[in-house]
Amino acid sequence: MTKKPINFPDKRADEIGIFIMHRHWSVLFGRMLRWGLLIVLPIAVIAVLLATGRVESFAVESAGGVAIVLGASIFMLLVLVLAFQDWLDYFLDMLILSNERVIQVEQVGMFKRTVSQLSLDKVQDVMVETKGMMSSFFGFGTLTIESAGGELNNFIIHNVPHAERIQSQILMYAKQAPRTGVEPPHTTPPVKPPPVAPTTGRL
Amino acid sequence: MSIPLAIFLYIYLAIALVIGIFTLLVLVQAIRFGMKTASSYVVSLMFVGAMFVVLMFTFVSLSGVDWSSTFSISVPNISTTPEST
Repeated sequence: MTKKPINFPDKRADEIGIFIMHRHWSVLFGRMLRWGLLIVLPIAVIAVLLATGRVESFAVESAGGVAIVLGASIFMLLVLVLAFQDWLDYFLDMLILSNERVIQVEQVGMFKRTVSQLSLDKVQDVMVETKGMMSSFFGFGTLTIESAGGELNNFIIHNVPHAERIQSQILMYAKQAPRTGVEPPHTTPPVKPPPVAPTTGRL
Repeated sequence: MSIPLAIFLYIYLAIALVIGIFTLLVLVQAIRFGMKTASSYVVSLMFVGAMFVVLMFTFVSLSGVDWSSTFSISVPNISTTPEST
């Protein structure tokens, strides 16, 4: 059985995708839990008010009732659209490893996006930092890819799942990448200098 | 001061339209930025479907409202003329 090729935006013709990675699922879970609570809480409050008999019924015919229903509807629509945007933000943030480079895509809001890439031959070191109970329990961490360009060009990716496995994979492919900065050894014989013509004139 | 009840509906429809256009823009941007997998389409469809359910629920619960009626709010009468002594 052949493996399905991994496609990503701006893929070069001879490039092979190794993996596309998103942040750990707990990041998305935390965000969705927040939006879910915002939707469920008003419904729960209304249900409790009706169940305890504090409110007999919501009279929609009155102006106040109409305003409450329309306001609640707008609130729900806003929460849904913001949750959708949050999910897309999670989905579009990614780390891509190919046989040539590492690409980090950072979605900031909905209309701003940063794409940084690092050639594998420029990778000097990959570090993993696992900090805190949640991080140790669920197995995610912060991945720092050090590049030859200095600290400013380092890649820092937070909440990376299976960080150690990803670290070893990047290091393995970086080791295999041909170094462009190093001069290749000469294989052709050195060119002889042309013979110097004998001088006949006096000095 | 009497205000037509339909004003709430117009404000609601205007905000819902803005949210709808924003959602469409977000979807177009996401597809441009590489949202091309089946699972991402399913999740997007779920969000849009949930929004549609909220809209339908709102319209069903307000279907019995007489939108041509008015409601009145009391505005305090503030006099600008000085009191005669």
